[in-house]
Amino acid sequence: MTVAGRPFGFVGPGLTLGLVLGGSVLGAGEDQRDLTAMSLEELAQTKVTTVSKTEEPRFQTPAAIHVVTADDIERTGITSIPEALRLSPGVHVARIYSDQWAVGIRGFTSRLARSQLAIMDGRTLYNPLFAGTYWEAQDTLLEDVERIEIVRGPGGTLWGANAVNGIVNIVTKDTADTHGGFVSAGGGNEEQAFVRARYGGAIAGQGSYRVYGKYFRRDSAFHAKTDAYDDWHMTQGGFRTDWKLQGDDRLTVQGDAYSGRVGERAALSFYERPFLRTVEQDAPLSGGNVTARWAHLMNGSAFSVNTYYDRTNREEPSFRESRDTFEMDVQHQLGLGERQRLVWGLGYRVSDGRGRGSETLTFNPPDRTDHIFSVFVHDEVLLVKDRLRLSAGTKLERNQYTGFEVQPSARVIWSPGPRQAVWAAASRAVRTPSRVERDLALSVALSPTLPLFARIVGNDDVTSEKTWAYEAGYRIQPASRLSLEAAAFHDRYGDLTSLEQDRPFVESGRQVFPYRFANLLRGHSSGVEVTSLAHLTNRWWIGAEYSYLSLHLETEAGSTDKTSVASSAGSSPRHMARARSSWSLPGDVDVNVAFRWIDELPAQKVPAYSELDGRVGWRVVPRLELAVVGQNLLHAHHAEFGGSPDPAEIERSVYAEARWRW
Amino acid sequence: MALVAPAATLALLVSLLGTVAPEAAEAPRPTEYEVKAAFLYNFAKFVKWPDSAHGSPFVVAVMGDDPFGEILDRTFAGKSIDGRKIEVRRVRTPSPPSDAQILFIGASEKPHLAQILKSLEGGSALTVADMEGFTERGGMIAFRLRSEVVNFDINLDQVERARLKMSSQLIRLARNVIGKGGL
Repeated sequence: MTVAGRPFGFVGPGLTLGLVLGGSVLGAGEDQRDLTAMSLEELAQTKVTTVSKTEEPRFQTPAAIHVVTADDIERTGITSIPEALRLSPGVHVARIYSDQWAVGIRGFTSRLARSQLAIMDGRTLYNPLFAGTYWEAQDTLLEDVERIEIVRGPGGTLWGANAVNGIVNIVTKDTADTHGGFVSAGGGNEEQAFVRARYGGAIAGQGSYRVYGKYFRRDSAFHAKTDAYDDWHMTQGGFRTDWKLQGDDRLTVQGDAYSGRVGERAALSFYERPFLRTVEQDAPLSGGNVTARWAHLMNGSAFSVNTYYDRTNREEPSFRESRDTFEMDVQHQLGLGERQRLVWGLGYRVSDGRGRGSETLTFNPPDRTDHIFSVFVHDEVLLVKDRLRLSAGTKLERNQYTGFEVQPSARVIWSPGPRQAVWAAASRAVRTPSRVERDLALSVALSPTLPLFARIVGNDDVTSEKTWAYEAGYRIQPASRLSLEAAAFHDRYGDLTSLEQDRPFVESGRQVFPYRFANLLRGHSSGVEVTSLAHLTNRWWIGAEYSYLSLHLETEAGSTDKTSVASSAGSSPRHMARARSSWSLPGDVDVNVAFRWIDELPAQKVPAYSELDGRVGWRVVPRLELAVVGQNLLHAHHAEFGGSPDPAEIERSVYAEARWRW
Repeated sequence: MALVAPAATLALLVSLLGTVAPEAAEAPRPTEYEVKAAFLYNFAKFVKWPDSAHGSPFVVAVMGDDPFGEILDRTFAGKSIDGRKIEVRRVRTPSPPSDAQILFIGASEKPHLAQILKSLEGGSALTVADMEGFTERGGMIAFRLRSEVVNFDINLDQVERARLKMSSQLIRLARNVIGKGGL
């Protein structure tokens, strides 16, 4: 379960816990440099050390965490959340179609990113039906995003099940930071047309508000063999209000609603001739949500309640589902003496999905309501002031598929000096079965003319996938303008989902080749992620990163699964390298260039590729900014992932944007 | 191919270390209040006060708890604004000084903020503070610290009411601007 209060002004527990006792580590600058000689613009970009506030939490967090900032999003001209995840080391983002992404953290890249948990402002984006996140439906006004925290490695102790390989925590800005209005509009060859607008202001001394709306239409990807069908458009709007109540209490109420159509092509199976039919049609997606969050600060302790309701509707050619989710989390943080901090919480989630398939795609039972109860406790002890911090905790979660799941972790961070930190962690995380693995019956026609069917059926014996993860990391800031970071991991996986082949049989004149979900796959992975960031001058910074992943899977004795090992291991790149350079030139011109090299994906038949993105932005007058953005500039089109029933390639994209703010 | 990428990245890392470290070692980060003090100096440069407020010296006053300490004195030492000497002053009185051009209101004065701002009406002091909601409550410039960078909000209506002329260069750096004035 998510624990999404903002107990000490920070958002997720991933950061919060890292922070609680972290305190300030970076000493005040001792130089007597004359700041008054700097220009206003330079001053406004000068990073400061913070003595009183813990504004440098990442450095003291005992986990592999990367933060994509609002500045990153603005300077890159990124237009969707999954594209923003490319900015984090160790994260593999592959655009499958114009309207679909596959995301993997430390391996297991898949369309639904099933072993990562994604959260936006305390609301889970993980869909329990197919287990994963439909990234094309997860959006907000990117100008309102304060930051995206990406944690590599397990987070189950705090965040609950399915946070096995990583967490994506999207945090939007407080409305106190978004007063005034802006309108942005533009278009190009792929980002065909978009308009975004927001207006915010104060509510007479009691708080502030904002409302936003956005629309985009995107062109289809490149298809060598079929029509281009994956063009799409979405319209979304929403609001947020932040209220200051009596004392230091705070209340946030926010909500979104969206609707759009995504182009899809699907191979549908029928029990009548022709058994296999390919259809191209738009899938309507829509939904809405409302979240309320209340935080109460007492002497040295913080209490928060986060609750939301979320509705999603998907109408794909083969399947439609409407789902309602309600969740409530309570979290309490308290200090025990000067050196100890205890956090505990309770959560309850109910998720009710009503689906409709076809004769060849059924769920049994057709509707199911999931109830998840959880409790967690996490304690953090400062063993040596400013030097050594130890934390341990566990989450206990109950779901109706596998009963109780325990997800403990222990972390330690040692700071030999103010600008160095070494951390290590051991954690257990689980991915609980989804309805697909329990309730699905899917028959896939193998031929249009012959009655041959493969049938995948759920299995009530499918249990949770279990992971033990061992991680270590090192951060150093050898100079104030240079930081280096390395993280290494070794994950051991057991009871991974496999697809077992059973004995073929004949049914009503059809030859059926049955497959059944089981847990007969195991394996281990190792890897490293290295990041460097250098502020060469006050107006120019560069960053480079490299990630290595080695994933070994094998089937257990008795397994008849011959495909899962190759398809899982061959869908994540062994090597990824990225570099970025960002300039703030005189005359209010910003230039950003980002390069990436991604290794081959044998299981997806995707060769290694290099790509380059760039943006030039010019503030013509204070209120008007013009920008030109180029994405995937090196090739007319390139493949990033295989697709079903046929793959597509992502095309070079150029768009122009004008933004007016007042 | 598989080995090329890591080698290239390592080379890049090494070159980064080699070229950057010497320069960077000379430039540790300033503290939050060093930057805020430098901003106060820039406010003095980028705001024009009405003639009636002219008279030597140029007064920068801090009301209530002073978060700057000697940083403020050091920042303004030996400097002048339009040929006027700068005087840094701390006041503990419940009412603000009437002759200050820039008035920084410390966090300790938050409970009396409405009263302080009321007593400044008709004057031409540029009011600055750290506190949240300052511009919404009638203050002119509120500092903010976000992602390790100091920036600020401006309430242009209040600035204009005090007959101050603020340069557009300053306004466009503001994170939030309240009011339709200016530009």
